Amino acid sequence: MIIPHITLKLNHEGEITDSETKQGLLSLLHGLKQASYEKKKNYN
Amino acid sequence: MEKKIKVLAISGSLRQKSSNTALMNAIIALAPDSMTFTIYHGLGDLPHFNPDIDLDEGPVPVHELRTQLKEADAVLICTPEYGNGVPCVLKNALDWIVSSGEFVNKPTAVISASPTSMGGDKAHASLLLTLKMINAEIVEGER
Repeated sequence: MIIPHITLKLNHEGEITDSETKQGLLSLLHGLKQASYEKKKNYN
Repeated sequence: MEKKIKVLAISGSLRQKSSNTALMNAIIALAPDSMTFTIYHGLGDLPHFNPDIDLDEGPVPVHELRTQLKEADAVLICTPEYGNGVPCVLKNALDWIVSSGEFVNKPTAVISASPTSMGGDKAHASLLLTLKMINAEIVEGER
């Protein structure tokens, strides 16, 4: 995932303020989780 | 009960106030409870890649990186772009992994973030080339 203008999307607490970016990152995390579970399943 | 997924998180920046490290920490805070994260802190300690010193288990920092990768179910990389490419410290780390194979079939998410409108697209593309060469499973999002 490519994130332009990153310094405008993080507040002083380091939280992501842009909802579109947040949604994209959540999707990426779920993808990572799914892929990891599938890999575990295939090896068990 | 769902087993927890162990993720090794790597920031490609050594800078203390790095936006990419801040982003990585923000992503970790967003993650569901079913994912646990270990932050890799050894990027700056790795020697320059040299196959001549990759004997037995390799240099200690390299062995630690390989062990942490082996123990992880997945990898998250957040990287800036330096000079239109991947930061040398990150590329150096990946070069140590080419022959040892810890990335093979490892679900890996890559994020490149930049203050510019391009978002570090060249570092992103270059990093994907290397990760695909070492057979990482690149994850783009939910399936």
